[in-house]
Amino acid sequence: MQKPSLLADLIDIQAQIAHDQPHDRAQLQQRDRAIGIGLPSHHNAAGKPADNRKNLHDLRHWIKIVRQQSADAGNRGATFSGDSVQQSVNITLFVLWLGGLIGGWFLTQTVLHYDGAQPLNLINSLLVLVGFQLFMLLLLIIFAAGGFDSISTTVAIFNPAAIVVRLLRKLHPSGTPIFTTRLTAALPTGAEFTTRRLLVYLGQHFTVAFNVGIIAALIYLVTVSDLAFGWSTSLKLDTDTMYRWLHRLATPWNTLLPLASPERELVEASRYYRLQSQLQNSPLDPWLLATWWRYLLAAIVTYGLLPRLLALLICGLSYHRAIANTIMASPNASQILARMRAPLVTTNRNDCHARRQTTAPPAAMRQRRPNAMLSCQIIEWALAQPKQRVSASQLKAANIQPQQFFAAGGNSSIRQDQSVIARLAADSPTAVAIVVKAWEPPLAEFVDFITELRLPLAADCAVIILLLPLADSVVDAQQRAMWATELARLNDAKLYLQALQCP
Amino acid sequence: MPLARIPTFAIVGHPNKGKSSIVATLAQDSAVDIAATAGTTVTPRAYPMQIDGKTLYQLIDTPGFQRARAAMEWMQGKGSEAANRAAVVRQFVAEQRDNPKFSAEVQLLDPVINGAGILYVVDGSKPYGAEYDPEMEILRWSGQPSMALINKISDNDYTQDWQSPLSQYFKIVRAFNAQSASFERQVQLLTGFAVLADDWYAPLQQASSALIQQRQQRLNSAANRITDMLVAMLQLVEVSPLAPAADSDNNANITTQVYKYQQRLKTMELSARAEVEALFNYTDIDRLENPLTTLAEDLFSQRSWKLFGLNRAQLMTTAIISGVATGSLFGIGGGVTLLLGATLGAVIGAASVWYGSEQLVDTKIKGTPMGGHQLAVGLVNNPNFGWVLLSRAVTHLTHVLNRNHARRDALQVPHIENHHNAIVTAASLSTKQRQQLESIFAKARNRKMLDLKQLAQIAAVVSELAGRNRQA
Repeated sequence: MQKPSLLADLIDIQAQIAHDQPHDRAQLQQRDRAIGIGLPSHHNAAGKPADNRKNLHDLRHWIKIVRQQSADAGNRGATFSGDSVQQSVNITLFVLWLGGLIGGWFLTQTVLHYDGAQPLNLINSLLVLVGFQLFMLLLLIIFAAGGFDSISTTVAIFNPAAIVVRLLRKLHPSGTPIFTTRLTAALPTGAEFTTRRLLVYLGQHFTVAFNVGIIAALIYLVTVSDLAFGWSTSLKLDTDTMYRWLHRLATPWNTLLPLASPERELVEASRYYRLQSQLQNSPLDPWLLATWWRYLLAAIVTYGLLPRLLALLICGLSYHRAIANTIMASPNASQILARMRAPLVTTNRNDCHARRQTTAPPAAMRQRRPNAMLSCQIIEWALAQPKQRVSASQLKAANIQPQQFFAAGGNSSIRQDQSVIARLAADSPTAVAIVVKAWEPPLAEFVDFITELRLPLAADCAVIILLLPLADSVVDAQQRAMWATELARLNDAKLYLQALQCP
Repeated sequence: MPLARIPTFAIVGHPNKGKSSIVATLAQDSAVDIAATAGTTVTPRAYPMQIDGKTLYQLIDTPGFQRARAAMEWMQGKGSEAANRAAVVRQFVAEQRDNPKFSAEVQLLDPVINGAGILYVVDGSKPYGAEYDPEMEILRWSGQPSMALINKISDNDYTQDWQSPLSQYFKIVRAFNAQSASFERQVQLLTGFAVLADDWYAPLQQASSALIQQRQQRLNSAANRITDMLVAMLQLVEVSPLAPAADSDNNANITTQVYKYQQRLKTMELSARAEVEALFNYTDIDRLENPLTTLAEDLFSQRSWKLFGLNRAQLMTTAIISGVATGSLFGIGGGVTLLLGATLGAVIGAASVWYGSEQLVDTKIKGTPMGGHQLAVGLVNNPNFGWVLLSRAVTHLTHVLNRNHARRDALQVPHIENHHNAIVTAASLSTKQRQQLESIFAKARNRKMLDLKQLAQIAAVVSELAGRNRQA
């Protein structure tokens, strides 16, 4: 399978970047890291700055794999149109080459149309076949002097490739984008110059083909017919001057191809006047006049073909560099490279976290509103530390009249807890208050204790949970809610919650 | 008990002491279930730290002890010789596995008997109590390497209260605030784990290095994302077709388009902020921020038309060149001098475009309009705009860098007046950086594509500014 071109890769990379936007970042990381691991090791060093060549290589490798994965998945990913755009470019290139060859051929056939009546005017042939091309090349150089980006759309009108593009726009049904539109649409902002460079590059193909057509036609005519060249002008131009000009023009090939450089005698013998219908010095060997074809051919190659080949090379390099830079400067390109190169570090679970089973909210916990003093047995739960004991003033403020104090929980053993329950049961209290640390959550062992406590007590015995605040603090709403939620599950009509005040 | 092959740490302790917050912070996972109510974690969950699929260590979030005294009494009933204690703990887990009474204890001890190290978490903002002794004793009986973390959940400080009792049970005691610990403190803690067991030293060191590298990569990616956003917003132009209508209708249309443009800018910034947060693994966090505002008078809007895809200036230039060529032909063929022919051609060509082209806009050829009117809104031509965007993005990034994954409150991006913030940001850079950035912004405002070096310069400034402002 043919390797996709740089242009195709550019378009497909932009399409994939757009397609990836809404996707989960973790998935993209995994995908791209898997691709990156497949890169040769010298590309894969994370943290080391890679040069542009490596970056481009890696991005092209990335899109190649992503395309494959998309194809394997039944093309459910981004729409890759890079290949079709490249095909459109190739077709345009073919048309330009064909047009150039045909144009050059027929122009030469026209300019060198020889019926034997008068020799072919060398000056006219040089001006049309070489001079005009030099003029167009000069225009290109002038406009490109400010950089390829300064070649505006205006000049592009004279570009053969731009003409083909305009024709395609007219021929396509309304709304169908042609390849330049699709390329421009795929480019990030500010990269419109890439399309211009493509058109200039394609235009150079036409001009190269044009010159090849000219050369082919000239060789054909020289081979299948006899041509005779002379020179004729209304300007006051003597033979010596003409010889000097022609000789200077032949400077590039004088040494390499001396046969293609004219002698003074030939220049002198080739002048003719149409009114006289004869050569200046007639008769002359027609074969000698025909030898001008070598000069003409050398001039076309030197001043027509070779400069355009050079322009083609420069424009081609410029165009490909523009594409490459556009790929690398694309938004998110650096992120793709980072995802490929950096080791995938994960520190969290990928699956959903199991949430606590939500059950119906328990009935609201009864809050004790101390209207009158209540006489209670007091249990201090896990309050062994002296600084954490409940004070008499706190109990008084809570309208609690303590009868006896018991200790449970904390570093008491379970047997000791059971012993406390037994003693309380023996006393048959009307109310029991359990002082707990408000800041500590109610554990299952506390709930066990409450449940066991309730069993021997009378059904109408109130059990009041007194929330003890930290020193210099109050019981806040969160602490109250924490205790209320847990104790409400007991569904005990005689279980109450009350916050003690700050000591 | 033998150690697990992969360093494994069971985060254990009383309920509601911040165990899950510790896990969220160390695992950099804001999805860890943290709630103010006790008992949120009901089943153990493992958080493996992996590099390219290879696990370097794992954290296990466990439910809190619920019946530590009863469990301890069970174990003590089986014998208390030091040599047998670890086996007794294993026996407890094996025999009580199906007993719902001890489900919490079994679940939190299971990873421990399978070789996990112990990270025992207490709340340093609450005082020590004797009720903690049984669970600490159970953990000591397991014989596994252990560390105690004093995690201050609120403002009170009882850290000193805890030092003595904890050091009696644990090899290492460290203070670590899960909600405010910086990234560097987190890595420090991880390195501290490495001393618990010699076999775990190498993978934990490798993990620390990988996390540091990941942090830097995230910062680079965030800087690149901000750069992309900046450039896109500086270059944003929205073009819409304008149907032939009365001026008053068109004015209303312009107002609508300007509003839409402003909304688009806001959306671009919000989208970039969300992506930056996602880079640091903050998904679905609430954000309190002042939205980006742009004044309508700062926007460049232009009503223009295009004919043959060319605007007026381009058409005139074309006409001039064509006129020169045509005039030249006339000059050659008609006996008029070359220069005069070319000049006349240029003038005629330009004049015809100037006076006649507007009429052609509405003309159709085979039903296809030759041209049309369009409205272009944008760019924001306030020269400070780039600095405003930069300073806002850096402020947001700094707050993301300073946040950690145990927090559940909204990310509060402070309200700083945009232009003041922009000035402060610009002033904090060197003269050279400021000039470089200004020329890059100017190039972007001219809708020229920035080269790789320029993009890297913006990203470097973003990283530098964000790095300066983050807490150690």
